Amino acid sequence: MSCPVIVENLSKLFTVAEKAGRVRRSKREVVAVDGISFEVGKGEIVGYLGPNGAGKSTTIKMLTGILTPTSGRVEVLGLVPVKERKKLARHIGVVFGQRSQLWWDLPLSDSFELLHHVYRTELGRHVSRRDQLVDLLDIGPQMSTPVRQLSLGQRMRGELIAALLHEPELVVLDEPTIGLDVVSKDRVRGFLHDMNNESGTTILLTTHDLGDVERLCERLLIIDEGHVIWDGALEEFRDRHAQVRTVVVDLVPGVDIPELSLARLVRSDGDRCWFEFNRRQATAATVIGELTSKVAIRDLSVDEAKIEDLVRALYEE
Amino acid sequence: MRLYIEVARKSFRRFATYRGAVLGGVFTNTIFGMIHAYVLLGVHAEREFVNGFDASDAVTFVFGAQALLMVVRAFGWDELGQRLRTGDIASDLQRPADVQAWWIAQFVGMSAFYVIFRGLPPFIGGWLVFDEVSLPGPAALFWFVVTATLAAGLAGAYWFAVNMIAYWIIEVRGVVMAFSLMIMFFGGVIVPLWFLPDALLDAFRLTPWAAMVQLPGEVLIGSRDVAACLRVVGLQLFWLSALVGAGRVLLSTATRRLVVQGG
Amino acid sequence: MAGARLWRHLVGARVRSEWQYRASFFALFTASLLFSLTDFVAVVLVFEQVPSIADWSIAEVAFLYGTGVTAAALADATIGAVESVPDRIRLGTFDRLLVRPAPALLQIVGDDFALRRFGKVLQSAVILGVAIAAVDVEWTVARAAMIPLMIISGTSLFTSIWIVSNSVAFWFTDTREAANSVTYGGSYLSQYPLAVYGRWFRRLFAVAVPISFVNYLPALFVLQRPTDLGFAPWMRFASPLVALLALIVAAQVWALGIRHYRSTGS
Repeated sequence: MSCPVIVENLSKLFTVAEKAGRVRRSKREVVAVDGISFEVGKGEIVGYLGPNGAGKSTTIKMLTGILTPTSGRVEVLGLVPVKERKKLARHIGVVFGQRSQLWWDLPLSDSFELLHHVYRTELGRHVSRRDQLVDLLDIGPQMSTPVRQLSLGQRMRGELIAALLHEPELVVLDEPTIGLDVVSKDRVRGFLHDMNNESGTTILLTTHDLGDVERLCERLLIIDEGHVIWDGALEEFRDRHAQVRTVVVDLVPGVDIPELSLARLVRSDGDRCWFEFNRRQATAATVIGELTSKVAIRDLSVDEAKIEDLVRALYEE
Repeated sequence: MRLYIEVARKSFRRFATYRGAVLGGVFTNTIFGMIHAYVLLGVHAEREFVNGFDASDAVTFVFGAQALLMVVRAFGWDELGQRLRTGDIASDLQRPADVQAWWIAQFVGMSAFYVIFRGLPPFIGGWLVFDEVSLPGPAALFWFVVTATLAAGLAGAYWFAVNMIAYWIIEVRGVVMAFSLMIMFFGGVIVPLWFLPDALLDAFRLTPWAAMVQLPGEVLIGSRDVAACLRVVGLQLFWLSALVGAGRVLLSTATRRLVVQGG
Repeated sequence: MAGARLWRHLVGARVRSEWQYRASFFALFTASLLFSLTDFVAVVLVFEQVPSIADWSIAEVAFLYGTGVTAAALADATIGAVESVPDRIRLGTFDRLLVRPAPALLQIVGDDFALRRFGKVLQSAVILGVAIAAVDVEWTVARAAMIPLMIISGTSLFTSIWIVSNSVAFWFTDTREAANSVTYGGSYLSQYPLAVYGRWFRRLFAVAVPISFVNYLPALFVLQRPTDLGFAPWMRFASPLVALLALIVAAQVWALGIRHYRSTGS
């Protein structure tokens, strides 16, 4: 089967009316998405990043059939989203982080039951799938609570189940961990990771949270001002853009801080030292080698460059 | 005092931004005014005077009532009730200003906007379409402005109290609907109160709802001399103080409960 | 049909939820009943002052009221949820309907179904019953059969009007109020004989917006009244056809609206 998501030269123009004088309105064309192309393969987890207003939501809307493209081609699961919206809807699951898909004043279990009718899944399959998901996300005790009374973390878990009940092949998540506490975020990420591993569900994830990216995404798609400015593996991104890495060393007490030629001391706190080195000039192995040849150490670790900083730098370019 | 004028002014400006809704609203008020007017003209085709009021009185009253409808928010106003429900009221309570005065000032600012932009245009529309609409003379206009302003304040106090009650009953929508119904009926919006038999008419004219719409409407059509206008003002002031008082009692009870129980 | 089944489930969920908060439900049901009753009280008060309006007696006007308001109330109870479209668009909650494999309108109507809205129907049905008993008519099978027929076509007409006026929200924001003037205004207008309204007003709001086909024209037949106001006698029987056309138009407008929404985003 071909890729679940194929985007070719996709563009979207909006006409925005603006106030010119006191009464007159002038029309301005805003290019939200400018001829982007990419593919998402089966079973991939792709992180879709970009500053606000870059065109992420617009792309997502075109992929799900909510928005008609101005030009270009988009094909999701072999279907043209705008033309075959309802058919496509059966095979994709969508989670909008900030807007709920659940029925607000009904208990969670009712929402799931209604979705069973909306998606017309076979009852036996629906029940076993639901039970499995409820168990995995540990939301059993909240099943009879009206959605509006759930905490944000509980609600997000409910939303995830809602999006996955009908066993979609593609899941699109729009900022799923926004506003969640650390424990909930971890849970959601773990769940998505496991699900992808076991069922091979393709996941497209837009997020501002780089913790999501680090944990889940093998591949990054970065969009800025309607253009894709990066499309490739996360590791490659890090390699290409991260110049500086840090070795954190715990020295044996009483030992002098060594001077290294391959790395530079940037900070020390008691027995702990932070050495920075440029990955073009040295590798972690050589730095550690030099370090251990000069001084006795108790423990060390190598810090990866912060994706956050890298992405920010990329936006600013 | 100046603070509250500022609050009212800001409220006025806030509503000025909802331009599209205003146009739609003007259209609605005009249509409804016209339907009411035609029905009453149908009545007057059969009979020249109803309880001493003629066709011109009736039609002018109708469009005046439509303007007043907007001033007193006859269809309901639950902004405060919603804030109470969500607990956002806490930020209001932290301000070093009187909560009730604040909200009434906001309401009055809103009413001022509504009377100018949603009350006046339908009245002018009615005047253009119907020959029977008579413009008020200077005296009637003066007293109308006075009583309409008081009606705005009165409505502010009224809705403040109603929203407070809604807090206790939790179902904001139903309570607001009920109290809106009272304005519509006893305020003479559905049919001018003078259609009622005299005994009921005299009784209903003393109600706060009549003080909001019916009486200022009667002032507008010039059916009341100075003494009668003063009586209207007196009644409005009476209800204003009563409702402000009731509102304050409800507010302090609710605040105490909020503070103790955490909302 | 699968759509009907889904609708039933959505409505069922709503009704169960409404029933859970029974006290609130009954309060709102009663409020809605009383609220609408005041309209009829106005009719009564009017007839206290005059014996007839435009040559229609109170029983005949009550018949207009009963048929017109029942049709409007039934439409409101079934399709009234479509009023939430402008709000949904504004709050951004319309999109999620499009992500599901079911027609958006069906979801909205099922989602916002409210049993309490039937309070209005009860009130007007009772008044209709009283009016039927009170009017001076030689009842034939045809005339009796016309009554349920006019209610059905009237409801369909109002349904179309509701859909069209709220579809405008796809093109223009802030149209909630203007939509109300057509829907609730239309309902109010149908309570009185069309003769009271000025000629241009009548042409715009009772013919262009086909309110006259809801109850006035069929009523002329039922009440054995002469066809007046420039209408032709055959029009008294045209309501079902007009209703059908109106529903088709409404469906098209709605579909156009969704297409426009999808091409311009929100």
